[in-house]
Amino acid sequence: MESDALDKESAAAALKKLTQGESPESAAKVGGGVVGSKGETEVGAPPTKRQKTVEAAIEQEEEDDNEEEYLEDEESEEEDDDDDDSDGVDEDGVPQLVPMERVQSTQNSLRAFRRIPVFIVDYHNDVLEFIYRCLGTRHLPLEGNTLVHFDSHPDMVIPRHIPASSAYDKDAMLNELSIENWIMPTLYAGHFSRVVWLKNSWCQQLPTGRHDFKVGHKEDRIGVDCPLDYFIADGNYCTTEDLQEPKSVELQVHDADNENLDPKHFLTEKDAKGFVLDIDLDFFSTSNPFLEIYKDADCYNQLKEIFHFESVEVVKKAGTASIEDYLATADRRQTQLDALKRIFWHLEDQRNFDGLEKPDESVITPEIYAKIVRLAETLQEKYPDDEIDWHLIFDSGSTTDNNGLPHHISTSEELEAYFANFKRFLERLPVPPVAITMAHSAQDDYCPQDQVAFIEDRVLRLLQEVFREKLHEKAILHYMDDPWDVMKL
Amino acid sequence: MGRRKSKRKPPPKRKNIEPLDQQFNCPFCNHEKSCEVKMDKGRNTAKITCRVCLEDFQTGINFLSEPIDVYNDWVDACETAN
Repeated sequence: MESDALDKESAAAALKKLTQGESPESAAKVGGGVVGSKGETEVGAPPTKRQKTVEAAIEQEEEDDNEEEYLEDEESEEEDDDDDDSDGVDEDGVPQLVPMERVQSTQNSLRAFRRIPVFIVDYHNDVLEFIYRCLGTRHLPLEGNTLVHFDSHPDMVIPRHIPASSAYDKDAMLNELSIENWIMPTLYAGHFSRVVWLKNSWCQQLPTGRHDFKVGHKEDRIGVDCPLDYFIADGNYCTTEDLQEPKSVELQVHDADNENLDPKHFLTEKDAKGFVLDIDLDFFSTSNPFLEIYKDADCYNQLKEIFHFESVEVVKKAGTASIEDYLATADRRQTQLDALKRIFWHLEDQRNFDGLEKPDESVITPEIYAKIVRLAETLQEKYPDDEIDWHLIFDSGSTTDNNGLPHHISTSEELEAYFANFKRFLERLPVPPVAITMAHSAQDDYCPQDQVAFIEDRVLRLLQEVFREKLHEKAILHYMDDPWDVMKL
Repeated sequence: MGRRKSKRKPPPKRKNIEPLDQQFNCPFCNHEKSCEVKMDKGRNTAKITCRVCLEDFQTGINFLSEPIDVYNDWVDACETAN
């Protein structure tokens, strides 16, 4: 949790500085604030204040005709003071500050961390707490940053139940988002304009390469004009023309286990001020936790058949894909998911098929409906009814798609290879990141719980080896409720 | 497309995010918690005022800014001017 930025000692230290004499040369008049196009206050001169000790007051009186009358009053008061006020304080110990002219801020420039902070969470979406603070304090620019995302999952699902406008509501984002959908709202809000997903080659959710697309909203729901199955399968594909307030996004997907991977191909020194390195430890080893759900009933394999849909990749590869194909596939898929959800939600409420209106056979064919019935029977054979969670089963089914979640629990030898690849990548970086976020993803059984501590330790050591004194000595363990304050980093 | 979902069955237990400070010590008159911040996120500006010595300061903000950021900008501006 973030703690107070300025404790009493710091305030006193700041105050002590303020009571020291100021040379006339450094005094400058404050210009009037001018509201710019974005409503930010701009000034033509640096901020200033006047303050004085007894000595400074005398100097000011001699050298500043415009302030002569005011300063004479001050000097008079000080001369009348019989106490020893050579340090500029009155008898109560309060420094004798001249009331200041209004100080207009020019503090719109970026702040810099003293060292690269490392913020470690368990659920990946919790890194947003730290990223949002960095954006708020101007340690990161508000827009246009680059996210380098090591993960076995893209985490770029579009949250359909959250209005697009909520992307500008920090509390809503921190409370509503989840591990699979935390990146897209940041793209919609413009905080990140580039995402580089670094995966191992056994992850197949997105094709490698560069994908430029637009993100916007349609009827206050985030949409993209990227015709990849990953987005079409969720019904989130929109035509470019349908997108309101579109923003450009550059998505790059690379295999980190490719020796030729060189971050200089997509990062330059221009990224120095706005580059976040994000590492999900399940990048190194991951399981598909849904494989374990109701395993005795072979639930996952049955769900793969129920949730199957025709990929658009087939027509794309044939070179005959059109926007109409993308829209039709997206629409068909969303209709299918809506129908399945209605069935599974009924089963959760009623615990049987009684009273369930049969779905449209063009959406859920009789064969598929029979598979759902068979699934229910199998589950009820193997598990007590009150243990069957149909909402969870639906979620599990909607992860199957056409490739499914990766399941690759790495051996020791594989882990060493992935650590070596990771270190090589870090060493090739043209610039260090502004901040590093890290996620265990172990509570949800993505990164195996018996491996996560070891992987975390190794990754932190690698970061230390590469970044050395540039890296904060101690990571912030959000999952241990470590207190943190970006202003003290 | 093979996108993961959280397995959490009950609504996820949200960590309590501690609210940040809203009142601050004045860097001029040193009164504790005498400075209050008014944020106008619509205009991307904020103002902090000491209700004791009436010193004030205005700064640009963004929609993610917190009152403590305004205070820190003020302290930084004072240090810069110093």
